[in-house]
Amino acid sequence: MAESSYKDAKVIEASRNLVNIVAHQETSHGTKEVIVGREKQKLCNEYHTVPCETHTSGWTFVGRYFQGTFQTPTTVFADPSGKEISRHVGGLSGGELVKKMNEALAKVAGEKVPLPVWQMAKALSNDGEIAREKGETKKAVEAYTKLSRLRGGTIKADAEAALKKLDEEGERQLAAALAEASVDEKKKALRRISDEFKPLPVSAKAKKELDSVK
Amino acid sequence: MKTTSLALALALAAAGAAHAQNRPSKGPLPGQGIDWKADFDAAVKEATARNVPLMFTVHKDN
Repeated sequence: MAESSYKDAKVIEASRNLVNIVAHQETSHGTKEVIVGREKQKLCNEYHTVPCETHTSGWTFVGRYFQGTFQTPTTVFADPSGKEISRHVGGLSGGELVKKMNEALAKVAGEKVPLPVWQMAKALSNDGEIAREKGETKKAVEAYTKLSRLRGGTIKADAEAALKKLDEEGERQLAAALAEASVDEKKKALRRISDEFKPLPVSAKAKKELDSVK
Repeated sequence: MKTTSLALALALAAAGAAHAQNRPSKGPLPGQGIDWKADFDAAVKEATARNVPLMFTVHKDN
């Protein structure tokens, strides 16, 4: 089953709408050396895209769905919390597996995040976090603003929470700017806040204060 | 000149054949195939964040 179905383009495409774990204790099927980017990697001959450690690690979680003896192959589908919704004992052709995947997908209500969008979201979140840590506010705001435009799952809520924190930081900087005795320094700080925190609410506040400074 | 070209062609052909023999079995490369996860708890965390189901498949060597 693995050798044929998991290489099937339609199965690969459908798998991007799920999170997938394979549990396989043995490694006697061996590995192949593949150059990925500039690195040599030993990838599993059975599952192709991962080292054997991935599926042997998966085996350590078998107890989540199986007790005592059980038949293999068996495929369990679970909701996002990990609660089982269906299982199939025995092999599946590519077409059958795609059908089962789509059935599981249909049992989860609400907007879903396919893998490519999730990868983009993770990259934006990472960019935002790095920029925030470096104090590059403008870049952080841009990354989280882009992230907040993606839909599904918890992406939007996570991005909005990050933007709220940045806005709060902007409010602290705004208070400090308004406390400046020097008009020039005050203007400079307000201009910077207005620019760096755009399009957050604190940016508009800073602009308004800047316009009112004579 | 002809001899040199012939020797070069033979050398390239031999190198190509050796490379073909060492080439791994065909299969998708990382990023092109199924994105298998190694950790169950991390998988549940991702599935929750993406609001997608989990597939947990168990196999043994034949």
